[in-house]
Amino acid sequence: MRLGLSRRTLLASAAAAPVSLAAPRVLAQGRMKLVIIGGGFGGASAARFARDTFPDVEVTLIERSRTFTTCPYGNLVLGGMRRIEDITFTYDGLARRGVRVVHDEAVAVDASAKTVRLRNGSPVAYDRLIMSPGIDLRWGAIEGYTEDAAERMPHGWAPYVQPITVLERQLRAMPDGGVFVMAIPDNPFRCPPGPYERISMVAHYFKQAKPRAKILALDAKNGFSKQPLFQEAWEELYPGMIEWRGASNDGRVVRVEPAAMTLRTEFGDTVKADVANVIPPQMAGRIARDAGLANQTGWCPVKPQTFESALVPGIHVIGDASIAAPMPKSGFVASTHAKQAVAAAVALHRGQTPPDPVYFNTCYSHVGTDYGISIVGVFRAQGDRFIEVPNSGGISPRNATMSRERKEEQRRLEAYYADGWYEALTRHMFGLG
Amino acid sequence: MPSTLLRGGRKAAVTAVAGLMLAAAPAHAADEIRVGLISGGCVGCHGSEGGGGHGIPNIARTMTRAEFVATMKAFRENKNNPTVMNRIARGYTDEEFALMAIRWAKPE
Ligand SMILES: Cc1cc2nc3c(=O)[nH]c(=O)nc-3n(C[C@H](O)[C@H](O)[C@H](O)COP(=O)(O)OP(=O)(O)OC[C@H]3O[C@@H](n4cnc5c(N)ncnc54)[C@H](O)[C@@H]3O)c2cc1C
Repeated sequence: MRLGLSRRTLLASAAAAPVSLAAPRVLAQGRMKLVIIGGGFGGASAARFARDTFPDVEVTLIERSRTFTTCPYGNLVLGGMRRIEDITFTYDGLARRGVRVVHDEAVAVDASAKTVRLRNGSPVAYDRLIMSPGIDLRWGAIEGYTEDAAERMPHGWAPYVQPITVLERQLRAMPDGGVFVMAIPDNPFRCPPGPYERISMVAHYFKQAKPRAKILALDAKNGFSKQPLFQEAWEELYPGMIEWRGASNDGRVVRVEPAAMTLRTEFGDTVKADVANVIPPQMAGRIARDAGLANQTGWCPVKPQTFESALVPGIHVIGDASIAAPMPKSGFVASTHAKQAVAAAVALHRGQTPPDPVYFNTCYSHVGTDYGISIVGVFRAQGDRFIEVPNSGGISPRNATMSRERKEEQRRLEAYYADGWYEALTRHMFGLG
Repeated sequence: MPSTLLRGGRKAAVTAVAGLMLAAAPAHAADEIRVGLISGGCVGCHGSEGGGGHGIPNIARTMTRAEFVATMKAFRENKNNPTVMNRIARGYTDEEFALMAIRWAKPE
């Protein structure tokens, strides 16, 4: 397939006016077929970027659900700062922009025939496939923690498995003076700061509605993302309410008994909860594992330049399902994996060299009213590894490094910017603006 | 793909980048995709069209290219009371600032 000058000119002008320009009919036969599985942070961002940047590529998005509820801001639902409707989106915006949205479940991939088999519809052929299926939970990794147990002890960690409202209802029904217990997994897992934002948002709710309630966090790790910032803020905003226990302090939960509402730790402590939020260990979404894209860790190794699978050619795995440390498993960074994977997939299909990647993450956490903190990271490919750019990124400044006024301003601005972050990212990925 | 942009320092880079924008010439298609990729990070907070909101500044055509690049460099040095932009700017190269400027600065 050769690019004529007029076509390149078209590409150039299309880039300047991405929405309105469609590729002319004459190109239709030769159009590259880009298929994306999963319409979450990675997949929806990939569809949007592909549609804006490559008008002559046919873009199909396969997503089993008609709506998408974000994990980001789910903790604010627990905190009473958002409603579930505020964080739920449809795919109409992407469809309006010319993405072919197929609401069906991908059940198998034939990498040699280059087709995706669907639960209900006819198979979809691809030239290149991008997968962003998110995570599955490892049922049974914590003894007794089954799908049934999750009704009594919700995880609230994957909205397509269980809506956050299950946990929300339990928290609302909890008596004042009750104990909210969280079990937090070891790395790697979805959203490293997420459990600690959740502690903060639940504390925010308790402070107003159940001031005698306590929070006990049992953690399988000895440290966590933005730890000093969270802990300083907890002391400041919720003194005496939160106890965090790390792994070496017997924080690792190994077994749960949902009928008795108890959790057992590694060294034999038994903890009784009024409400228990168990976040179990995780792995790549099933379709990625079934397609042979995951290794023994349950996650998918990829080439750092392109996010093409290290195991199966022609398929790019992005977002939480991929092995991309030191990048965190975050929605924002998944959206930058997505753009690079699309550009690389198109380049490789056309026999061109993929562009050099820059991956970028910004994650805000809400800790209280007008109190936000963040972590930033810029990452690049180096050989067969991802690296974080030295001396860049990092967390918001600690309290002690700022005057009182500046500190208040910094925290207030970051909470405000977090709302802007959420709005900009979701509007972009769902094609709303 | 190593770009030829910005080899000769910022001034030359900005000029080269300015040339890139005018041209729909074949050799530049790959660079245009890079503009989309690099500025794709900005979109996550500043929005698809760079308009900002919730206190996040509008970056769409509010600066000349030179001003845009100078602003990003100042953030690197913690200037202008930054909250997150200092941490972000330290991760990018001068050439990448120039690519962002193509997307966001006033057309030249
Ligand atoms: C409490 C919490 C708070 C968070 N806060 C933040 C935050 O503030 N900032 C941030 O950047 N990140 C945050 N995250 C992390 C973020 O949610 C994830 O990193 C992000 O969703 C990963 O994107 P993804 O595309 O890999 O998966 P997802 O966004 O989960 O998307 C996967 C999609 O694939 C679909 N799918 C899966 N399998 C199939 C199939 N076989 N066929 C069809 N469709 C399929 C699913 O239905 C789903 O829609 C948070 C996470 C949690 C749990």
